[in-house]
Amino acid sequence: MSKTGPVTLDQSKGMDEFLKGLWNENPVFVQVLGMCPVLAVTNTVTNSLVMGVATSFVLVMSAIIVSATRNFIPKQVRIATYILFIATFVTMADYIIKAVSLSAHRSLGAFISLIVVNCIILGRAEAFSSRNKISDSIMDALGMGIGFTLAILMLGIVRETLGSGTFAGFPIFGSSFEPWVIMVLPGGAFFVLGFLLLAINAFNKRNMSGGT
Amino acid sequence: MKDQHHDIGKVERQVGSEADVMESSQSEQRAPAQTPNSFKMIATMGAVGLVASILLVLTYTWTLPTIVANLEAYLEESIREVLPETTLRTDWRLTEEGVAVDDGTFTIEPRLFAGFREDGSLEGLAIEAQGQGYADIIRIIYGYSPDCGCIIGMKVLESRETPGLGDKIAKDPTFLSNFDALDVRFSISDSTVEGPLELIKRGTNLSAWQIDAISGATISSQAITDILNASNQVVLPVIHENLDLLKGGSDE
Repeated sequence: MSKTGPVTLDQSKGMDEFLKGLWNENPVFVQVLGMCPVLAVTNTVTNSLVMGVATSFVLVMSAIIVSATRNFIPKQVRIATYILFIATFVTMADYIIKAVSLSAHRSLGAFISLIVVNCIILGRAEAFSSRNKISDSIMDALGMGIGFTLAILMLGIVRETLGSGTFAGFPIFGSSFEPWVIMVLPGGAFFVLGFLLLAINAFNKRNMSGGT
Repeated sequence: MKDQHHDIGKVERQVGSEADVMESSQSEQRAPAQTPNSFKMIATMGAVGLVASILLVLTYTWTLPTIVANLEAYLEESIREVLPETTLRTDWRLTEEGVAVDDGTFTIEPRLFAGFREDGSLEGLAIEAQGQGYADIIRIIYGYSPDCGCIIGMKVLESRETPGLGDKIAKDPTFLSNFDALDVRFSISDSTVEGPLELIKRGTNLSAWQIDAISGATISSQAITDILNASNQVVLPVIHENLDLLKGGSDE
């Protein structure tokens, strides 16, 4: 689906690395990676935001450390060390979320720990951070993290608005609004994701044929 | 980098094939292209593990006080919800012998909180209970008033019930109002629960010990009823046996 092809190794323009994660190589809408949290925890805006920020934190921290150690780690054990780094940062994020907001931690439940196996993070570590200098890796991770956060926020906004008639917990419709229960159930996530992918691909296709 | 690595391997293999063609075609498949230095690998993994554990310990010690404070605040808030007039509380544990002051040495014994009004009279006991719901274990806390022999409040502490249906047990105001004054049918003379709480469908006449089910969430409503019944059977006799102890229980 991605038209840009594999990452160019010598590219050092940080801004490009940052921007590609937002749209052209958006981890959710273009690469379709990390679908487990995308479908599971986007039932409210708050959950989406916390998950997005936690994932971005882990992405950036692991990008820094993977990039900084890329010349010391023997190739044979690199995946194992990446996973160890990622797991460390996920556990740190887990403690921090618990300290900041117990209710957010409760509503995300096991999905915080499951960031470890989010393929976006290992994917960026292996495909980008392990081959690029730290500054580029940070920009790449930030772009991917923010792209991921925006994508799941879009799902969260649609699902919470329709499914509970609220925005980040505040009611936005009158009491006569009948919530679409399906939207807060896992099935609703598939519907919303499907429609968003449809819209984005239609938009990209139109730009492609009309623009050039 | 991957391509480079591959090229080096190829060059080596070519050198080998010049020496002995037949031999190399066999060894080529078995032996890895480059024998890694295992000491370096172990040392790297060890160093990474050390750094990781230091980071974890630092974060843990840094966040622990806040997490403990959060948990305590959450418990405090939950108790205030089920015992609204309480200003002072004492913590207890249910033991095999009865009740004991929670001095931090207990682990699995169920917790019990005695809540006192401002004038020092016992408002009620907050009791933690849990049981199987539709999706997972539901944990609740409920307030019991020994004076009226009734439940005066219930709060769901933890549940994974279906959003929009089963999770109404935690939020639905009509359902929660069932627990404002729910007769537990406890007989002080016999020190037993005479009959269970009953779950009924919405719209029928309510007796003081009946719980009005949430339509569309009968299983979750039944789960709450069952949890309360199971807990009442065990806890209420103990509470009434030790009522004087619990009443005077401010161990100050």
